[in-house]
Amino acid sequence: MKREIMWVTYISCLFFCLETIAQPSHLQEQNGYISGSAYSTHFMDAFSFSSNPSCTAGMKNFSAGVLMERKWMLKELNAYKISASGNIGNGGFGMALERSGDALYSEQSLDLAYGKNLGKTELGTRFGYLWDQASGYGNIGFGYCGIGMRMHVTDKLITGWELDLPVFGKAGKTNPEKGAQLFRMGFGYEAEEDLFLAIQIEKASDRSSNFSASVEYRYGEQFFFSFGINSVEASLFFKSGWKKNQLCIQIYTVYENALGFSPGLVFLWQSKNRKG
Amino acid sequence: MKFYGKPLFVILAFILNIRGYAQSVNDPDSRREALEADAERKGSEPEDDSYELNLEEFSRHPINLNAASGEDLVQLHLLNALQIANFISYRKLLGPLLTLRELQAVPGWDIEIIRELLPYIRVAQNEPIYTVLRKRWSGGNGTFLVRAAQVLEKSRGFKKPVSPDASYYEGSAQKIFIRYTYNYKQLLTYGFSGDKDAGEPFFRGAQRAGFDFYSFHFFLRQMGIIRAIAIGDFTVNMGQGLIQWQGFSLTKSSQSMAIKREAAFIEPYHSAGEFNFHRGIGICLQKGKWQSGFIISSQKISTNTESDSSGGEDIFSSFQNSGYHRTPAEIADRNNTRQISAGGSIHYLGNRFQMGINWIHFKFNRPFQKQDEPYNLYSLKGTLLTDYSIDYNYTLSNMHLFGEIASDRWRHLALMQGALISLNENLDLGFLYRNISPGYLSLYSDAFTENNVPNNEKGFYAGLTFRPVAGLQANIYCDVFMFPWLKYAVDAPSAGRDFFFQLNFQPTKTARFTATYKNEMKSGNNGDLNTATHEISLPVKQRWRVETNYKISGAIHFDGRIELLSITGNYTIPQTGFLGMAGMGFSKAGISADMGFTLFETDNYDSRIYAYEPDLIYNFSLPSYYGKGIHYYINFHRDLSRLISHKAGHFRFSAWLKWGQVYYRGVESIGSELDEIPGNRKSELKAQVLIQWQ
Repeated sequence: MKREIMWVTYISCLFFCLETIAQPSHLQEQNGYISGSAYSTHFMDAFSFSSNPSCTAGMKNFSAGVLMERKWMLKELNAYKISASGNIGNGGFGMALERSGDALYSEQSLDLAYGKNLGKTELGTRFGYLWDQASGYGNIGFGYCGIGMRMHVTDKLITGWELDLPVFGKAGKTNPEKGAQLFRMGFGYEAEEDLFLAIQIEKASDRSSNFSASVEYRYGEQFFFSFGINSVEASLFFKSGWKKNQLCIQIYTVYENALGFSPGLVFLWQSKNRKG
Repeated sequence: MKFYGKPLFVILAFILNIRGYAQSVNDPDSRREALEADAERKGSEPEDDSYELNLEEFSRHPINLNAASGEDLVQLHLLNALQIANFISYRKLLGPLLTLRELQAVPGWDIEIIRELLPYIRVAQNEPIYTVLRKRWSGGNGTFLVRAAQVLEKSRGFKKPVSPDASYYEGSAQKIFIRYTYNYKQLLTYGFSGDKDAGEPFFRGAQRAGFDFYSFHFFLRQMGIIRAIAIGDFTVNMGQGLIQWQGFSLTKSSQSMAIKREAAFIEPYHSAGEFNFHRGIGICLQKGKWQSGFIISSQKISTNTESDSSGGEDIFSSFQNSGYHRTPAEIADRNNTRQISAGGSIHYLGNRFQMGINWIHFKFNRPFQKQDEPYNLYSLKGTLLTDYSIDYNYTLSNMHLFGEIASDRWRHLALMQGALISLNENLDLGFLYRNISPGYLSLYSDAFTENNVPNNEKGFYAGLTFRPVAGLQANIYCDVFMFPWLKYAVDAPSAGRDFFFQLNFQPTKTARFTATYKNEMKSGNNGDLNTATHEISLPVKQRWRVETNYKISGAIHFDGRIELLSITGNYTIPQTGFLGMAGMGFSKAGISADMGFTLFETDNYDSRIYAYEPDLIYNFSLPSYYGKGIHYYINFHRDLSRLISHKAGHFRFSAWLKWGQVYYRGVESIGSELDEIPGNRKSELKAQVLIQWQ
């Protein structure tokens, strides 16, 4: 009976989410970091769950990271992100806090994710809150929730999807805008333990569909390189990193033809493996 | 975290661990794609569930391959003509099969095909084919089905008319369907059905007899030289569909080799559709290698009538094939024209060569006359229509040739010529040429053409299926076509082409990935010009689709899909469409359920995307998504047989419940005219009860 009650509760929440759908409002992308590691086994890090919350269930250890990016080399668009994820029991969790902008206009987000391992499949859910502050215009905030799934088709091939829906919050008074809906599907293929290929297709309300692809390669235990493309902004992404024991430093840059470079720096820390 | 995590995932797992076997009929993915292609071509959801009913019956009484004729195997629609011909030759050459494993040795039969066939076939020795008539009246399966559906939001048609002249729906918002059938191993079937669409009166007004549409059928197979006899409602299939085809048919789809029309001459009709069938008597006889069939039918059909301006008798300008009789105007058109038809066929059925002649004749009690428009220059005029055709097929080694040449009573010709070739175990090819005169006329026909009806078209189709390694299959086709005369919304002779490429990758038995690309180019009027005639634009519609199907176990299944669409071209405003879909299903111990979400965003109706979703058994749901919004559904099935005491295996009592809602963004109403619903939400509830006994 408890199951039925919870089921009804969840569906009711879902109805509530759907009831709030109106014109969507879009918040600016905060950073240009591209990674398909949510669809991998060996390449996951503290930021992976941003693409699919269910991947937290596949985390083998605890990982925390800090990301800093200067978007298009503009100080006013500096972005910072702190993220952590790890395994607990037969599942995993993730949380991230992000901020971009300056005193005149800034944007923050908080993201909480939880994933559960169901064998060959992992289920995940995400709850998030985004808020904008514009000097002289006050604040707006949006809450959203999402569900995601990841399937281990073979040892090397992982696929999954995620659906995010706005739950509450709106911007404007005359024509209030709601948060955007988002659907994302991804495929990851670990050709070798040191080579990983990923493809993601993403669609957010009233935006063009975005296709991103990335390749990650590890050279030995200490070095790795990554390259990616993003169709909507026609941007290219390069990343290289150095790892020593549990600490990893990455530098990356995103290049867009019209707007130029967005360099970034990432520090990652990973605990020793707790799972096999 | 453990404390909070567990309940959360009990909820999620309960909701999401759901698989789409709410339909118990094995539903191959290719069937879904074919249904989507058909819905897009015809602009409506299919209503004929004969194929699903047949499969259900075959799963209960599998075909004995040692006694099956080619016609029996055709009913499965899982094998192409060459595969059937190869099997018949194999059995004739090597004698009856000893086990099903032997099927791997049949040329052209691969593991995937055999796996799909397994639920519907068996091997038995020395089993009598025929059963005496009196034994067929008992021991069969009785099935009673009741289905009801309703859109909960009231559309404008259901509200009180604001003026006496305003149109409105006379009936209630429920859609109701009932059906009783008795089936003895497909050898004897009979039953009746009743259908009421939303908005049609029920036991009042114009429908005092209850349902708007009643159907009855009695069908007997294999009684001596009588191959089949039908009384009541039945469908007729001839040749390659140039003069008559009312049964199961595929249009261009991922099944790139399914280009040949194949079905029995007559088949029972028991669906909710109110138009595409005959009502009368049909018989099919076979003696040795000669088969003949005859039908005669008389039925009232709904047409749009108009007064003749010259003072003559009223004419009708179109067939009202939607089956809707909701408003006073639609009710006035209901069954207002008498159609009498007669037809027949005589065929020689050789081992490798088969050939026959077909004819069909229609007579109406009032003349048919379409509106006087240039594109209607060659349309039917008068009360009579007669078509004749000769069809053949010939199997030569690894090649199967087939074709039909037809003529109407005004000697306008239509030709179909096709070939299926199996080059080796990995590669199959299919070709089809058609040349159909603009003046060629037919009714209830359905050939493998770009147009909905075989008329005004020349074209060449080439398809191939390539299986380079186990688990990987490519389906490709290319079709070029032209229309020598004008068409509706095309003010000049026009042309087009289709290109389709699909890659199926099945790394394991439980997972499947499909990537599809389709490029369509077809002429149409440039709608932006406000002139009497229009310039012709040639928009290119491109689709990209990625699908994943993954079975965790026999009970749980997940589906995901992303589809992108773009329309570009001269005189065409670029349009895009997107559809993202995720579905999950569960089936175990008499309970099954499906749940799915769809996120869609298209620029307008032209960039709409059709997507199959699981529905109540024997019912189809293929909504066309356009605009912006989200749709979700929950489809639940429960076997309630244990509630009623019965002998094991002799009784089934099942119930289905489906709830679906669609939310549109940025709109104040949904639909148009009488179907307009205020607000941005549309909710639909469907329920069904099925009782089966033996």
